[in-house]
Amino acid sequence: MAHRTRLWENPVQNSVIQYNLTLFASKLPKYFLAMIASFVCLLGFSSPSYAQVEIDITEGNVQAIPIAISAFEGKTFEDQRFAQEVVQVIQADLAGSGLFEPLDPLSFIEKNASVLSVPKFSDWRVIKAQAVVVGKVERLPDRRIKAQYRLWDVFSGKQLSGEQFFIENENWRRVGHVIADTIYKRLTGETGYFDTRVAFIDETGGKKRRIKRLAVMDQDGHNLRYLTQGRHLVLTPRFGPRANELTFMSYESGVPRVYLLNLETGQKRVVGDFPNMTFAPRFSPDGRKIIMSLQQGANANIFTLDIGTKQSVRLTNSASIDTAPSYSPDGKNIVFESDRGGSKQLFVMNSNGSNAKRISFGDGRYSTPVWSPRGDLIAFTKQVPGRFLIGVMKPDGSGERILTEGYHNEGPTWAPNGRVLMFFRESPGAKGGARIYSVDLTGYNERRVRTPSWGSDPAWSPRVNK
Amino acid sequence: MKLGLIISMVFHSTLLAFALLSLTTAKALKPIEVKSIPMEIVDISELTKLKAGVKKAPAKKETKKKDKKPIAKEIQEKKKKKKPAPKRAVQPVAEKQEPVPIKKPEAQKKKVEPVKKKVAKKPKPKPKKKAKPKPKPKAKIVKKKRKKKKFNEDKIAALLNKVPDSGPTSSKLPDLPGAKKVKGNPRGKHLKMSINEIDAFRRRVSRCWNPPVGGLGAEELSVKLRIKLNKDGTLKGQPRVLNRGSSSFHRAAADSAARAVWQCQPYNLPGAKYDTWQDMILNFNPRDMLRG
Repeated sequence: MAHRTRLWENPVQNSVIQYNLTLFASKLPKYFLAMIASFVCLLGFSSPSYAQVEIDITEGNVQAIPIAISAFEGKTFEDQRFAQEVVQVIQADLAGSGLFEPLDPLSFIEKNASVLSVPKFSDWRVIKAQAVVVGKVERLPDRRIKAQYRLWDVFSGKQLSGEQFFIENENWRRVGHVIADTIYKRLTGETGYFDTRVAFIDETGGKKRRIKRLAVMDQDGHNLRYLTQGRHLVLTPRFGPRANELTFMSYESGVPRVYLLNLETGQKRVVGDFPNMTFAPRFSPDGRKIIMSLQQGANANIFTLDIGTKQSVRLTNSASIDTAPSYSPDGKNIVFESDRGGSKQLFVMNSNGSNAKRISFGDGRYSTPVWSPRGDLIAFTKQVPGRFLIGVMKPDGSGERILTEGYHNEGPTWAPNGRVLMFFRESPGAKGGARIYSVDLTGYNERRVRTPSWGSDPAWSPRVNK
Repeated sequence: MKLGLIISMVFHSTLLAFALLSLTTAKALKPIEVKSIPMEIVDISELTKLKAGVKKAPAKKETKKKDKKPIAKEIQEKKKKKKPAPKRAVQPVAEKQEPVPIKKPEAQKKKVEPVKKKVAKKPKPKPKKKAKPKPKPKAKIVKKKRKKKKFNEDKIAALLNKVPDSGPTSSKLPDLPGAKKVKGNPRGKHLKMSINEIDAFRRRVSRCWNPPVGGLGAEELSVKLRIKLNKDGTLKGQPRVLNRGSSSFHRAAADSAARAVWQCQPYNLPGAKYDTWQDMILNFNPRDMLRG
């Protein structure tokens, strides 16, 4: 993204507030006296007023916000067609979140809403829209796109947000994702997750001869790119904090090893020089270290490896399989799975490996814990007889909640806003295979993520442009 | 066998006869009628806070009397106005029985009309003047009627006084010279929305409120909104957010609360209590939603 400005925010209100504040500060004593005088006057002359009614509204109605995304303007016919595609991207993103209900453009009364004028709110109220988006897309001669949009509140007639973007032609879909992100954030308060990517294992061929390739795509399934050719088995890709690096496990050298791949340069290298199998890698929040498991005999222990200095530090030393480590977003704690108590359970320890405490106490076996980017929850896979569940719990182990269940669900990964999860679900039978799904924290909005064929082990990237 | 049969038949027939006689005379078991009692939960402040009225008016005692008198009068009316007044009931009985003749209805009709007018203006002095030309018994009846009418009005006033919602009476009562004054303070304006009214309003707003529940905690989503309403229940101007919050969650929550208030208007609120609801504070907090 080349350029992003916020020219469109209404500056009037802010300037008024500022003005008042400075006035008040500079002439404090005078205004203080005036305030007291007016207060005395009020006391003397006003008749006893009514006690102001105060009503608590403690319950609402959770439903998708009806939003109208008006056709974006375009100078030429081609621009208009292109603008229409951008609108479709925004609509699909917002609808996919489950929190918005984009209204059918055929129902719009005001057909040619311009980005330069105030919409006719009465027309939008008739079709029960709560917010309306107007915009304009223009192709510039320097192979860039200029996009503008405004988000209006239909009831108050207030502009909620308005921005202008410049972006390279080939990344045109990102215009839609970025606008959808801003709308999402303005109306829900949460950071959007549409301008993100997903790394996953693309699976093709029969169940016994499955070819597994490392692939990356936009979160909506577009712009797919293969990173490996499928000659070797690859597993558990994980994004770095800047979304430009991937770490994953591959059988490329015969022995399973953790690799590091730079997505911009395509450079790939083995992480660390360990004698045995290394697996379940993940970046530390600052991106300087990789935390992973190292096989030692029948056991596995957790190590960190500093990418710069290549120094490794052992964090656990137990006669059990400790694996799937994941840092808390502040980097102070690590959650991991271990069978040290007999069955696989979740444990949390300090980042130096001390003070490990078990946090999962429910029935069944817990695995693949992932700390939410928000820090408030840990997602996990739970295995109970005959079923695999995806759930979340607080870092202290309380408040366990199951979001979805199925024949074989596994490997949750968080959206950067910590509100949505992706996971893969395998269907039974010889013709069965894995598919990637997303589910939000309510557990109600479950959707299949578009992949070209079977797909597993999804890893959600952080926001590309923070 | 035969003897036994005969004995049995005799015995059964007597038993049946007894049953027929005794059971038919037995009192039917009637279910006790349970009358529903209309009830409203009244806040103690209705009694303790200043109501609109006149300071000197002996409000409480009068209202008690008013409550009793009208009931007595209703009974009298049912007895075809046999008694002149509840306290002197015994004496006039004889007088009343006499003036039954056919002329009376006409006289009554004539008198009834002026009474209405008089009552509205000056209840006591006028009726006496009009009563003079007519025969004595009629005059007495007129007096009784006047009193009754007067009492009826009192009854209405008393009823109104019982109802805490009778706000507008505050401005009307002092203007009527004949009307009884309600105990209170001329500046007292205490009126309150009933619990039912508040609840109905709350339900309506809740239905339109779509809070962004994904916030980190309910605290960030709590919004204190001040709204002003027109008499027709529509919003007067923009709702104002009273509590500040820096996070995007608070901003989204504040917008959602304002949208709810805009969306649900107009509100059906009691016009008599406009002063109480023209300016309200709404505390939006989705805590009850997050519990489950």
